[in-house]
Amino acid sequence: MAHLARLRRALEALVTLLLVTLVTYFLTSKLPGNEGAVICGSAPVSCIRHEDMVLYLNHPFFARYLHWISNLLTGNLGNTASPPVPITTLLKQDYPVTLELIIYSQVMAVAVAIPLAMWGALRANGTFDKVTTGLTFASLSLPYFVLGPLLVLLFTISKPFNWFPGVASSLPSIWSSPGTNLDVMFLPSLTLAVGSVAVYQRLLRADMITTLEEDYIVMARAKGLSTSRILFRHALRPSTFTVMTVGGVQIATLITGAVIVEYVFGLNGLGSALIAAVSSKDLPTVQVITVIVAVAFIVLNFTIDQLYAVIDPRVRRARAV
Amino acid sequence: MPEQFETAGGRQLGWGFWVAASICGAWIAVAALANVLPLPNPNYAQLNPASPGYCFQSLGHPYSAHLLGCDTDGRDILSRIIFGSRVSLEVGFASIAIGLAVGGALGIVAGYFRGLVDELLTVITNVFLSFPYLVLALVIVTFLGHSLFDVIVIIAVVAWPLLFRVVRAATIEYAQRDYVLAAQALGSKPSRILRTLLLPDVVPSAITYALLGVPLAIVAEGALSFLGQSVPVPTPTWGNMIAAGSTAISQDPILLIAPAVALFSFVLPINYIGDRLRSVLDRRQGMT
Repeated sequence: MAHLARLRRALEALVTLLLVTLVTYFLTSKLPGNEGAVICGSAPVSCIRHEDMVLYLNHPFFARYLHWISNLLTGNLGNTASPPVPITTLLKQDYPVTLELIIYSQVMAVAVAIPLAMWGALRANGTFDKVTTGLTFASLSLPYFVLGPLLVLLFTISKPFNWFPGVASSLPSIWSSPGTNLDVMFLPSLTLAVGSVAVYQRLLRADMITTLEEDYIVMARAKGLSTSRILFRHALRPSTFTVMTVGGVQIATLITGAVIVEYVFGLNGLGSALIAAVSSKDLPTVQVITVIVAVAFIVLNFTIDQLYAVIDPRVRRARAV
Repeated sequence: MPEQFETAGGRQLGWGFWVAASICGAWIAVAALANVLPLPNPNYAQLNPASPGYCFQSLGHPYSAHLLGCDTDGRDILSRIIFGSRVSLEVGFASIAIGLAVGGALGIVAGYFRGLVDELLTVITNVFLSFPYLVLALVIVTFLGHSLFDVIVIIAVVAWPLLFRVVRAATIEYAQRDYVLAAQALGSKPSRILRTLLLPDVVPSAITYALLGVPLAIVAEGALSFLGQSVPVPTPTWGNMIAAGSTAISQDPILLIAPAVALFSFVLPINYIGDRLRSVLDRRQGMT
């Protein structure tokens, strides 16, 4: 039974994946302006004819879609509109920034949220708990496009706190000069992290309060274990399941956030590439980036769903029955 | 039982709820009355030194004629913020209303009839929810356009799957109650059961989650505006003012801070209202 359920789940994910590519292709092929004409710009008609042929533009919708998706699956992502650069080159250059931004921000968010949630849960409704919960709630009303510029104002411009390099500082690779890289990426990642801290703190705190009422925690206390040992070794893991599930959904929010944060801080990531492509109506690039982002989201959620069973033996056993 | 909901809930909501509601009410009133209020034209650049409203030098120097000073184009910031609130509020409420109408209607049908219709709609919403909302909005905005109506439609397209899920889940829960089963046993038509029994039950949770959606819609519009993909530029919006303010950040921080505070001072209270209503709703459902 368990295997059947897992198979069903995988099939669902696969169908969703397929439909996502179909919807993306449908939406973007509805864009005004002929794709061939956009790619060729003011180039002669023969170029437009050629591009039309390459992109199957004179074929019916499904033929075009099949042509496009089979190209995508074989790794042939096509060229950007103008100037024609292979999209793979663009992606190779841009994805590390977005990936680093997301990972960096999540490391920050987890590092801050876990202690906040633990201390809050330990004395639920105490002063510390009320203040942190209130602050995280307020931070949920600070969208990325507000927080980002405000952090820029506070930490790169005004005198006493201008600790960080300003917007659009050149970003060296993390492998060649990690120090400068992490310095430049600090504020962008912080912008992205604040919202996640709020989400993680609230969920973890709520689950932690429930966990701390369990018998085995009382038992651990009775044995005289230290509070930190109880919190980190006994209570943390069983309190993380909601956070794990929501963490997967969070990724979608983070990608939205990355689009804005990259724009605010002038970073060359997938988000800026998408905005640039949308502004210049560069269809092939919009299609590829949208599909990649959606596929990454589905695959990640599916993986987390599977991991869930690995981390929580209770779920594993319940599913095995 | 909407009356009972209001009276029993009224006491549980707490004073913070009413403070938040007053702030939201004040914003709505100001936005509605923007034309009547004694404000300079939000798009009029007061760059002529001879004119009484001359403003260019007043960057960061608030004075009686311009309480918050003027932006880099000599336009009154306060006036732009108040007129800008209109776009935010119109998009926030209208797009969620459309999303609720579409998502709610489909959700109640899917939740009551289940079966193939339900599976189909669930797959469709899953597909929609697989796109990060801003990415989907950016893709749609490129072919729909940038008018106020286009933006409302775009955000409604992004919002309806979430409202569908909420209403569907609530319907499934209520459809198993005894009085629904009794009505079915008596041979009531499904359309009658949906209208007279399930709809009133589902409305409180639908409205609550729709209210939680309003700030999200406002933020989504703000993000599009910020990226220059919402209503075109001469029209003030909080998003495009924040974008303009962040590029002129070193000239005068008020250009950024004023619209940021405006957005925060509307989104925070409405988030709070939604949060309170939801916790009252959760408690009420826990009791029944």
